[in-house]
Amino acid sequence: MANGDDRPVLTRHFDLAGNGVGRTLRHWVRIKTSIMGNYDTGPGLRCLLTLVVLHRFGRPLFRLRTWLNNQYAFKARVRRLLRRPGG
Amino acid sequence: MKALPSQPEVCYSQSELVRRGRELARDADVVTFDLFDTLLVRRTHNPDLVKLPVARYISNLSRAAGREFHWRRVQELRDAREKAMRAHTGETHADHEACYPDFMAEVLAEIFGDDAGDALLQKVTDYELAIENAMLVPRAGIGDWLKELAAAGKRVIVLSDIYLPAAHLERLLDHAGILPHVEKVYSSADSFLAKASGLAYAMVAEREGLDPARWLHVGDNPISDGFRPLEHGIRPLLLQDSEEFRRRAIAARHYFYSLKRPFWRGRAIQQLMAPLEAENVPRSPRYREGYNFLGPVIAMYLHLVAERCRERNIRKLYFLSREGWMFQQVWEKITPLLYPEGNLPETEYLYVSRQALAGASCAFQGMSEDRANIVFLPAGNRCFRDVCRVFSLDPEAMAPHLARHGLEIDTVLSPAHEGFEIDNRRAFEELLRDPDYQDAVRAASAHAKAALQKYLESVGFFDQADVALVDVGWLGTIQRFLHAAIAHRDDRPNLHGLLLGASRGIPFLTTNDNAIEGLVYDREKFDFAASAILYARDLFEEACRAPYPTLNAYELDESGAHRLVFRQMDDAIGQGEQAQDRHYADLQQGVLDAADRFAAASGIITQRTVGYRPWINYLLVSKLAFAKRREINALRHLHHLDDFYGSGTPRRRRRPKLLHNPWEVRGLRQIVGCLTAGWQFRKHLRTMINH
Repeated sequence: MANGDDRPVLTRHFDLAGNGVGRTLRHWVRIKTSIMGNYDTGPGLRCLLTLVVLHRFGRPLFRLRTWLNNQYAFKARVRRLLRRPGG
Repeated sequence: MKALPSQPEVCYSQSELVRRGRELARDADVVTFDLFDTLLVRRTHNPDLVKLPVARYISNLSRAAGREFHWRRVQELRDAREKAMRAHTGETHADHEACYPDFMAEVLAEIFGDDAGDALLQKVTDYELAIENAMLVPRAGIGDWLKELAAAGKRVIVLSDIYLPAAHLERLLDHAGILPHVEKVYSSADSFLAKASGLAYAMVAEREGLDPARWLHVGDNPISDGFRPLEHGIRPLLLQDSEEFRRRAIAARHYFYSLKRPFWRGRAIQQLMAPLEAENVPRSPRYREGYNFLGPVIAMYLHLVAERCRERNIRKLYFLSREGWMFQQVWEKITPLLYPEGNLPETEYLYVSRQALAGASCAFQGMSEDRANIVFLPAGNRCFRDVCRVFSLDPEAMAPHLARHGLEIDTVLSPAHEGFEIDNRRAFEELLRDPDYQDAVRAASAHAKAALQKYLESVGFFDQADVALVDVGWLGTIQRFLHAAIAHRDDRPNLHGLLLGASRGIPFLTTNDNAIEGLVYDREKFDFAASAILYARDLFEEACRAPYPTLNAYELDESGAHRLVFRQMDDAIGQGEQAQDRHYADLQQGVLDAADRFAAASGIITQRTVGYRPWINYLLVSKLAFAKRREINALRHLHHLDDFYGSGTPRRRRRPKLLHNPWEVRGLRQIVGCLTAGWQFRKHLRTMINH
C-alpha cells in the first residue's frame, strides 16, 4: 500500500532517488578536502557541473531548444538570411 | 476530416500529444504509429549502442569456434555489410534500406565460414532482440491511448523505418504488451519502401485499402512522420518531447563521461538501469535503496565473481546459505545477458551455517586455537558453556578435562566480561593442547562429521578439483570450518572463497587448497573507501538472507542417510526473524528488480568489471559512512540473529563513548553520529592504518 514516503526510483530530474548528482558533488568536495579512499579519476568538476545543469535546470532549456527546432518557417527565414550575399 | 495544415502539428509532451491525438482520432478510421521514440523509447541515447553487446557475443562465439575475431572487428564488419546492403538497395529503390537477417547472415558467414547457418543466425538474433527488449520501454500515455483506439474499433497499424523485419518488431511489441492491440506491423526492412521517401505510406494505403483523408499518423521524425504523410494527404501528429530529449541527453552525458572517467561507469550503468515510464511508480524508501544502492553493489560483486571463475577455470560455484539465496537469484538474472555464450560454472545452493559446521569441523583436527578464538569474538560469549554451544558439545562431559586445567564450565574466558583473568585464558589454551580433551572433542563430533560428508557427497562437492564459495563473508568462518571438516579427504576440492567483504578479524590461514578473497572489500588490499562496508555489515547480511530458518545441524537418520535440521521458528527469535523478513521484503524486491536490468545496461557500458571499483567505493562511503538519518532509519534491520552470539552481558566501558556509529544507535546519539560523520571516517582511517 502506498504511503507518504513512497517516491519513484528515478526522480523527475531523471536522477537516482537518494543518490543524486548533488550528493556526488558534495562527495567531490570531501574527496578534495579529505582522505576518502580510491575513486580512480574521480568524478571531475566539469562533468559534475554539466550534470547538475542537465538534471536540475535542464527542463526549461530543453523545452526552449525543442520549440526553436520546430519553428520551420523561422528556421527557413534564418537560413535564407544567412545565405543571402553579404547577409 | 478537417483541412490539412501546411506543416505538421507538433506536441511538446506526451500528455499534449495524447490529448490532441484523441481529438483528431475522432475523424479518423485508421491511426498509424511510428515505433521507435514514439511507441517505444530506448533507455540508451544512441540505438547503435545495442549493437555492441551483440558484437561481443559474436566475438566470444568465434573464439569458442577457434576463429578469433575481436568484437571491434565484428562491429566494423557488420557496419560494412549493412552499408553495402543499403547502397545496393539504393540502386533499385528510392530508400537506402537494409534487412537484418540478410546482412547478419553475411557477417556470420564471413566469420564462421561453413559453421555459420540458420541455427547460429537464430541464436544471434535472439540475443540481439533480448538486449533490445531489455533496453526498450513502452511509453505509458501513448500505449494506453493506442489500446483505447483499438478498443474503440479504430484500425491501429505500426510503421517503422528500421533494419529489423516486421516479424522481429512484432516480438519487441509483444514483449512491451502492445502487439495484441495492433492490427499490422510494417517495416521498411521487408519492402525497402520507407517513410523517409513517403513510399511506405502509398504502399500501406494500397495494401490495406486506406483513405488518406481518414488517416492519422503519429511519429517523432519531422520529415518521415511529418512532411511525408502531409504530401500523401495524411494528417500527421508529431511528438517532440523535450523531457524525453533531456532524458536522452543526460544518458548521453553519463555514457560519454564513462568512456573518459572510470568513476562514471557504474553511474552510467545505473542511469540505463533506471525504471522509466510506467515502470517508475512510487516505491517505498527501502525498495529505492534496494534498487539504487544495494542492487548495483550486489550485481557488480557477482559480475566480479563470474570473472574470477572464468579466469581460474572454476567449474562449480556454491552459494552458501543463507545469504547465498539472494546472490544466487541475482546471479541467475544477470548472467544470461552478461555471458550469453555460457562458459560459466555450474551453480548450486549449499545448506551451511557456522553453527552446523562448527561441530563437524572438530571431528578430524580437533578444536584448533583459531577456531576456538572465533567463539569469543562476539561480546555475548563469556565462558566454556558458550564454546560447547557453538561446537555442539556436552559441557558436563567436558568438565573433567576442564578440571585438569583448573577451569570450570562457567569460568570467564572472554575479556569483555566481568571476572576475566588472563590466567584462565592461558589455562584454556593449555586445554586446547591437551590430547585427551581433543580426543573427546573428536569423538563427540564424529556423528556430525559423518552426516556432513554424506550431505556434501549428495551435492557433488567432491566431484570437482576447484570449487568457488560465494558468501557475504567477513571472517570466512564458514569456509574455515568447512575446510577443517573435509581436510582429511584426498578428494577434497580446492576452496576459492569469493566473498563480498573479507574483514579478516582473525587471520585466515591461506593455503593452496583454501583461500578467501573479498571482492568488494578485502582487508589485505587496504582499500579505505571500500572499508566503509564495515559500518553496516548486518545490513548486507539481512538484505541477502533467505526467508527461512538457519541450519542447526547435520544428522544421520536410522537408515544412515543425512538430514538437515533447521532452527525452530516458533520462539521469540524465530518470530523476530519472520518480522525481519517482512520488514526487508521491499528492499529485497528492489535488489532483484535492479538485477533484472543490470546485465543489459552493463553489457552496453562495459561488459567487463573494469571501472566498477570507484563507483562501488563511492556508493559505500556515501551511503554508509555519510548516510542520512532517514536512510539509516529506513534501512536498519529490526532483528538480527547471530547464531554465535551468547546470552552474556558484557561489562560497560569505563569511559562512555561520545561518538557512535550512527548505524548502531538511535535518537540524539544517532544525530551526533551523523553530524560528525567526517570526523568518524577519519577515525576509521586511523583504525584501518593501525590494524
